[in-house]
Amino acid sequence: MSIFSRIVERLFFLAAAGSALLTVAVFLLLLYLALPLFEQGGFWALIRSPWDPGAGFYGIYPMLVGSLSIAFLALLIGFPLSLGGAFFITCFAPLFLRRHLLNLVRLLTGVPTVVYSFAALFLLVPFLRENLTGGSGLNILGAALMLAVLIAPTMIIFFVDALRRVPSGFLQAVTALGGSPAQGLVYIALPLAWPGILNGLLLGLGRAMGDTMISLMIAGNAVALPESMTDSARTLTAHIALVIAADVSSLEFQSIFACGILLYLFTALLVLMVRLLGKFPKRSPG
Amino acid sequence: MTSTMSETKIRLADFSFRYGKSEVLHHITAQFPENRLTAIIGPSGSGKSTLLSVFNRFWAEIPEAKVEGLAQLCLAGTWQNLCDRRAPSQQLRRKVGMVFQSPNPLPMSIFRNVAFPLKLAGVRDREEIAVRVENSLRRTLLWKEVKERLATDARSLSGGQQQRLCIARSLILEPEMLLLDEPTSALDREAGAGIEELLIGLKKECTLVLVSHYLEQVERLADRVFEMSAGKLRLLGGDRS
Repeated sequence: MSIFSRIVERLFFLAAAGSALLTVAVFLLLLYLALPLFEQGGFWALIRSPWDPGAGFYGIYPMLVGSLSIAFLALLIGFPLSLGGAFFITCFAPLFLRRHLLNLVRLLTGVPTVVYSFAALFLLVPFLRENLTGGSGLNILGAALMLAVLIAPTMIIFFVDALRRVPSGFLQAVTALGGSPAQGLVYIALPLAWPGILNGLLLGLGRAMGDTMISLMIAGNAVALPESMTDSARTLTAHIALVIAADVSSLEFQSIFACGILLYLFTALLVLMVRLLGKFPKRSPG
Repeated sequence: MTSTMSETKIRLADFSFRYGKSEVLHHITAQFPENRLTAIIGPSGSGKSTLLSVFNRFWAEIPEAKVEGLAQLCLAGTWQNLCDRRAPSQQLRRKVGMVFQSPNPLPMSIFRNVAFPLKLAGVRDREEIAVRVENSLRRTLLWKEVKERLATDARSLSGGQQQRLCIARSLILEPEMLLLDEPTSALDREAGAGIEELLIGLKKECTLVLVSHYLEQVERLADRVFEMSAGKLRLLGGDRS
């Protein structure tokens, strides 16, 4: 191996090792910064207690529930929407339209979330307020609906990619045997593409959980524990954004590090699941 | 429309096929007899497979494809218009089986592969499915070789076995016609001979249209031979039917 190749190899190794170390370092820093809060009653106490700084409670349980509710509701709405969109683009849309639709979806992934939030604030929130939920219209349902729109393009791209990896010969055989495109999709494409579809689903969930702007602007930011979809809620990310202006030495400020740890662990868990999915054998169709 | 020519399975009159702006088949007039093996020979790219795709209306899946003239297929005594892109094709394809150049077993067990067309057709009776799978595998002389391993992946079979499996899969719907697009070209000599033997048995009960490169094979099997050259179809002498 030439000296140049060795240097390049070393540089790549250092870049990879540096990235890995940086990720671990961020986690350790979060742990260190959240230490004073843990000393108050431990990590579990922190994620189980309410948020009431007046009474000395800095628990992030309502934010955790808010984040999970909004993210999973967004996934519940966004998943069928995305799967339908992916089916349409891969199987049912006229050929000339498929490419344009996919380009449009790709474009949507690049739209800043603040733009979605503004659109929701002026269109969706008044509609919900006047027709469905009453109150301010800033609630879990509104945020989840908008998040579903936000994560759908990412999921569609993953789903389309997974469906397109199915060998065309299989689908051609189904057509030749008198099968409809829908039968080819259900009996052949879906069972072969499900690991890719699940990957897209998990990444969509990660994106919904990690989004700040939409939940900050649309969910209402109430620190009380939400009881229904029409209640206002504060997410972990929105909490970080709102509390970051507080006194840096206060326990209130330090709670944002606990939020960071939870988001970090959640993302790590999703990445781990995506990795594990790749190792599962593919299910046989039919 | 009721068939007035019971001996004829397919009739083409002034039939042309366009792919985008280029005309691939030019003003073809021909008839394909029922329960005979008709072979189409010719060089690569001459339009043989394109013509085959007309017979099960597979061409309608290609947006750029356009057809002109008359192309009709007689199914159960009724003439079907093969030029109608919008006509429902699923029933037609269940009666016009297709075997491709390379064996294309689906990624599932041997049993499920053969039973798959029944699933597509909505047959749910397990006993009926088991009987028809066995019959189909017997017709293609595959039953003895696979009866102990019906649950194994069909892709683990040899090339020749895979091709016979694909023929068994097409036969399970009891088609009136079988289209064979160079079915032995991807196989070795022995496996190819097995397929030929199978086709000789099949032509008594089913109309076969075979696209082939091999003149010797065509001479051994065919009752009628057409030559395709640059999109033009010509009947060669010696109609053995």
